[in-house]
Amino acid sequence: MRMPLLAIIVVAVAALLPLVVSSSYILSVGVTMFLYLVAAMSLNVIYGLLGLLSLAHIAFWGIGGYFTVIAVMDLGLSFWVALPLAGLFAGVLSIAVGFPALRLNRHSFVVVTLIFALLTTLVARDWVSLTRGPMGIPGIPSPYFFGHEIAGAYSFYYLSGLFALISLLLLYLFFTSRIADTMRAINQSEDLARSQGVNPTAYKLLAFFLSAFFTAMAGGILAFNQRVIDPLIFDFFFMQAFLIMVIVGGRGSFVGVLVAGAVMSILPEVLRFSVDLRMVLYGLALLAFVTWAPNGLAGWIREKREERLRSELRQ
Amino acid sequence: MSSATPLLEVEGLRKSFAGVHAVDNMSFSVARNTITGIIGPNGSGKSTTIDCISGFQRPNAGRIRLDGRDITRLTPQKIAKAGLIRTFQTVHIYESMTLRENLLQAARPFQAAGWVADFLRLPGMRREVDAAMVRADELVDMIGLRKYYDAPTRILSYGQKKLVALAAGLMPKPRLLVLDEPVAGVNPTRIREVEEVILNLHAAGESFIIVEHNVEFVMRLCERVIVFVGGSKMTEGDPKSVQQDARVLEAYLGIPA
Repeated sequence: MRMPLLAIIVVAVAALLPLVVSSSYILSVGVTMFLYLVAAMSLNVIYGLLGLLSLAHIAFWGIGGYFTVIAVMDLGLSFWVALPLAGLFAGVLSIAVGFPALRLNRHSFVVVTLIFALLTTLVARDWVSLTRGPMGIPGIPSPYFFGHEIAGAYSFYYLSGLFALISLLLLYLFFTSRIADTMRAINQSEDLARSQGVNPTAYKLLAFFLSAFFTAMAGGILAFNQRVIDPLIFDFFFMQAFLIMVIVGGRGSFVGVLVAGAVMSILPEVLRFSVDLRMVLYGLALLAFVTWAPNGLAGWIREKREERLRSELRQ
Repeated sequence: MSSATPLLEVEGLRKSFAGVHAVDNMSFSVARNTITGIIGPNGSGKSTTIDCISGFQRPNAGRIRLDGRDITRLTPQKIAKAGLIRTFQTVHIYESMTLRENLLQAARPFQAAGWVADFLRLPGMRREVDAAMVRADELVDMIGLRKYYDAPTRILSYGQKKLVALAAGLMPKPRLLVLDEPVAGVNPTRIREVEEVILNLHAAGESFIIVEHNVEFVMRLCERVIVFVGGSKMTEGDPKSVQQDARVLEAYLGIPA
């Protein structure tokens, strides 16, 4: 495999793109893609590796946005301090929610995370003294990087691109580590893992923490890019977008979700050539995947490989 | 621990489900470096006893000691760490992982490297992986599946999967390995191979409890056989004396003694 070379080429092209393309529309699609990629890949940690469907993901995304904005505007913290703090805050919350949610079974985990997401939306709407309610917080100031103002598509393309690069590198190290292997083991047979001495709860909490941590920081950057934050950041649209990327890419696969995340971020924009049929075409593409590759891109490739191996070994 | 302490000691074990005693007043012990067989008709409490010993079910009463240490209320993972590993009646292996990955994963919780060492691939972690690889190499030859070493275990046959589960149980060199029906559904020539594997490991100092319906397999392999009937121990002894015990025949065949 020439994976490392391919990765370097992709990163180089992405880094040089703004020098060639001056359309701020295309660059803003890039910003969205970078942030979605990180959020989808962190959902892939808890849902892909462990099979735990966390609907709280949308809550961490929004909490990250609100936390960063409030920390900068009301507490006067620097954006660069507020952003990782937002990640840590969401991470701590994820432990507080995860601990009781994980005491029961997988289904109750889904329900508890859903309720957490709904409650968070309520808080954002109704705790007016903190979040300013449904009107949201406008006029979010630009972050400064060594005196250089980060404003507009061009700067945010580099900010979110660099953030995605670092986050995805760390997540790649994680997905290829023995920690992730143990999570895959727990997902396949929790009883077997326990009989071999694994404590599943510790791994589940770690996965939930990491997924909250990275998602919240992506949400924080999103808010500063939009320059306004309101309860719409908790819109379920984001949740289903992340979920689709993970499912189409193939749960638990790093490369699969990376490719699917990029394609699924860009596809709705490409389909704009036909405004009326845009969402219909998007839906058709999804249906095709569910029908012919129910285990996603990575699952489809794996099945092909196994088929070949099976016939080789039978000879 | 002095060699006088039994390796496993079960004392007055009781487990009931909705008032029905699946296991009642069960007591037995297993000596170090032996192969002990547990037989009994369906519903005699074999599986429940194993589940209690390995922590998958909480007994209502009784004590379980491993090497003198009380393990009665520990979680399965802690009992495994204490050195008692079990396999399952229905095959439990990681089907999407390769045979090699299955074996390495089984050794993982017994290694010292933590999450940080794993994430950063520190030298300590690499050394542990190398050591586990040596053990996995031995075991894969022992179960005769080297050809499938790097194939996902999903493609293996049922009997081969049982062998993988056996090898995985052996990876951390447990003090005691409890095999729950290791040869149920395995073809007869394979059963001979499994016997040989177990005997070789026994010669190397490994201790086993084998729960099996295949009485011939148990009789050939075990030095001691414990017979369960109706949720408690009916008798125990060497294979010969158990085989000739009239009460055992009655329990199995319904022939009055």
